[in-house]
Amino acid sequence: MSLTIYDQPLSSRLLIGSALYPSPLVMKQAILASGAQVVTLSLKRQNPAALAGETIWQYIQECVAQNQGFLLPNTAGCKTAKEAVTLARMSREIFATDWIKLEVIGDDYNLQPDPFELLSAAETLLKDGFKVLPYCTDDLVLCQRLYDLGCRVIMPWASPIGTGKGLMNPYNLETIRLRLPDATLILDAGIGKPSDACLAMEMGYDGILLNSAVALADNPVQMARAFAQSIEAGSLGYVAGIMQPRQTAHPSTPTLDTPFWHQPGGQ
Amino acid sequence: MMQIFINGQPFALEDDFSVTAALMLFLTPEQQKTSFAVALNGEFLARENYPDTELNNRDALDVLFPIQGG
Repeated sequence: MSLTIYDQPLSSRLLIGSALYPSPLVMKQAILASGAQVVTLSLKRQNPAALAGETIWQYIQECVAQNQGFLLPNTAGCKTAKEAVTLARMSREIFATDWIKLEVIGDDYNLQPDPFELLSAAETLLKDGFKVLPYCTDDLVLCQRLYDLGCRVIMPWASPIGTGKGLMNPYNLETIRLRLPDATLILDAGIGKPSDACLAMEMGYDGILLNSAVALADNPVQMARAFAQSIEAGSLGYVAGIMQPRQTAHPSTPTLDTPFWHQPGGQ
Repeated sequence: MMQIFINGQPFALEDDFSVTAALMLFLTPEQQKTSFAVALNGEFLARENYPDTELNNRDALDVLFPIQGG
């Protein structure tokens, strides 16, 4: 099984963030333990004397090289299409990749994407040759519009960034899967525990992007492994074909010819 | 003289300063060797254009570096 992002096959269906870890070393160990080939990162202003980010950058590069992976810069913090486009172009120069996790935030409290600015930015970036991975809400029409624009990957949220609330609206997520069968769907943001990721994979999602759930765990390295296994299990379960729930009980063990008097004809 | 802003900080510079020259003033020698990208007045400025881009009064440069992200 593999995940494909704009024709690039990947062996892992987990995409992982590089923020919020207790230390750069734990970040590196957790990313390696996750097996994720795609690592997200960002750009930020920095004071002239500060070089702390350089260590992180080196570690991320080492992780990506070791997992034979890819960088996925994001446009975190952008609130307009113009800001996001500028940041994407800056990211492309530094990181030498056309991939961009497009974030355009419309609400400071929920960090909810602004759908209108998001569409505008996606349109500009796609024309500019970017391979856009838009972070969006679980709104079917928005996802459809992004797909129609040319986004081959769509990344609806499970719940607001960093909340760990899991799948807020499974109905919406299932509907998006059913209505966009050819899109690569990656559930992004709000995942709290491995079972959340497993559930999304059982719905037929193609991958999971997460950060806080691993970085803020008591043991991030162990949690990274847990997510890798839950995503694998959920994906395998989806491919294997999950049985339909039934309203009435059915015995799992055949009762015919067993020596019990409850059988038809018994006493 | 003109005033420009680099990452929000005001700098007084002589006229006819290029982006390359301004960055040499702003960045430490160690930082000049690291990865960074530049926006001029909110628009991406490609690295190959730094030497030929002259700064004007009240211009704003943003110099961004890689950091962790989710």
